[in-house]
Amino acid sequence: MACALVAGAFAFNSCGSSDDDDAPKTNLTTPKYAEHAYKFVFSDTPIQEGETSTKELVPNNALVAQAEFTEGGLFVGKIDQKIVPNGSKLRRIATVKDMGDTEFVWVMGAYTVKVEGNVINLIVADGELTFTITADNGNTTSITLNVSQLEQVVNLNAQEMKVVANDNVDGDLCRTWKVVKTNLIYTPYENGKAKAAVAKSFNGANLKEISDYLYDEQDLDIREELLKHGNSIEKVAFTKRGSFAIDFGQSISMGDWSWTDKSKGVFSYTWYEEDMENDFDGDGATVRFDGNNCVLVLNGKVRESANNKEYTVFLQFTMQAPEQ
Amino acid sequence: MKRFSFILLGTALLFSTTMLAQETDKNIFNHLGVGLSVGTDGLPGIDLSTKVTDYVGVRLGYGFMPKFKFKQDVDYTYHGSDYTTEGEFKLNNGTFKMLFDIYPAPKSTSFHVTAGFYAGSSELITLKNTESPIPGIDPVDYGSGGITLGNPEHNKFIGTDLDGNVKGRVKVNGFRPYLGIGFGRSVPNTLCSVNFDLGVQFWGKPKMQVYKFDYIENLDGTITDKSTWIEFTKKDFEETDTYEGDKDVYDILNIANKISVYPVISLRVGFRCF
Repeated sequence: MACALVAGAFAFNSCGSSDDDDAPKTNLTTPKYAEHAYKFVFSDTPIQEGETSTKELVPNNALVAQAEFTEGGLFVGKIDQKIVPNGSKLRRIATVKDMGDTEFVWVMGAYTVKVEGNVINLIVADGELTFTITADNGNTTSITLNVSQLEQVVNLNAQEMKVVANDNVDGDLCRTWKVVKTNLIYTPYENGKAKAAVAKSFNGANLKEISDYLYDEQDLDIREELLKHGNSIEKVAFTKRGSFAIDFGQSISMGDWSWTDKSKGVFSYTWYEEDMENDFDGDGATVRFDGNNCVLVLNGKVRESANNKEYTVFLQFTMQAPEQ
Repeated sequence: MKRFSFILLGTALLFSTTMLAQETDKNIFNHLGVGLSVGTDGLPGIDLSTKVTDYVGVRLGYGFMPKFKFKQDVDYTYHGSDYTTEGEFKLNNGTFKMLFDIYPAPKSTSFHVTAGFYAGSSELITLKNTESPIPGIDPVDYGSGGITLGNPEHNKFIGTDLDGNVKGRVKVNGFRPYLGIGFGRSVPNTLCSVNFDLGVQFWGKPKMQVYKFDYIENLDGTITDKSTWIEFTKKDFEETDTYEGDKDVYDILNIANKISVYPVISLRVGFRCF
């Protein structure tokens, strides 16, 4: 539950206004790699207009199934495990099952961009992988993949996922964020009535510190759930092509998101990991901008019994973008 | 909008009575008076007054209000435990005033209708803790939160400042239109006169707010003060299916919400300068 709470539903509130001109203005700069934030799916299955989910697509080659380059400079890819060298700068996230003979693995790393005329080189993990895109009038005409491990250059057939969120508010949100402060409110219940709530603030998003506090001071043990993916939230990334990722340090959870009610800022999501829960009992979550801070509030309170207790946990993350 | 309406009303009355007057005093603004008053708008109040026409006078002044203080225990919850500390409440109600007295029948009576405005601090009542720091708070939590008030499901919390202190206020409109009636002339016809005024200031619905001290350590290591006022309404203390409520606080806020006007009762002695 707690892991779903922490890495659970995100409901994006477009600052309470369906008219983007009324949205509070920030001074956030355009992310460094916004112009080259691509998302490719290497599959022959046609992608429907507006579709953001890529879970069920069958890859058309044995090296790479999906490659995304975020506005914040992160590469997230579903690639053949054999092209990830020993000591790779790519972090392995999860192994993807049921991909036929090829064992694909989700990886994440940093990428840089080198442009030479109409040729765009997306250099991943200091050259372990290089995707070379040839463009014509802004449209991708060909993609090759240079795998340093195999000393091999491969032509790939790709479908480019379209941008699904591209107004000013999306531009502010879609970047990589770091959590600078977490506000926690823990409310125990007794016989259906809320007892005195406990509010505490933490620098950053140190999940271990939060779970230790709840265990040591409030006699609530949710350490196993809260620390399932790591001891802290290092980064949170949103992309305009409908992906999000949460870097827990020891692992990364990712998924696809798309608007369900943009006027209210609500969006649906699916996790790439099947054991992540999508259900969220409550009002959803909101995101608002406070100056150049992005405040992510998990507004949906989860009530369930654990250790014979009824309680809710409310989390508010204040995030800042490192590149601003 | 209300502010603009009252100014418009005062101006319209001023010009309309001037135009309708059978006789007009051609010596406009040629008389000056001084007034000293006691009342709910000042203890004391002082003003300068002048006669625009026989039908209209204007008073400009200030009402000094002693900063009355009273102490009251305040309950709060910190990390699930209840605490009590003594709070000092202080009244801040000194106000400037600009009032137009309109005399419908100046030859026969000093009865007047008064329109105008008062202007003062929007912080009508301020609150601070007398015991510093307030008890129970871990110094680790200074400046970052920890105190919850009202319905836990509303997720409202505040923090102390870096020294463990809190502050609150009751906020009203700083600009308060006024409407009233009275007897007596703004500038006496003789050396002095006694005026009596009765009316109301429209100060809007009072709001109870507590200051949430909040500091954020930025990525670059600097500290940003994100402190802000948090408003608490009666709904935050109302009993619900899942919250026992706080009837005492609810009743106070319920009553306070209805007091959108402030009564003015004033006794003034005016002196004619010339």
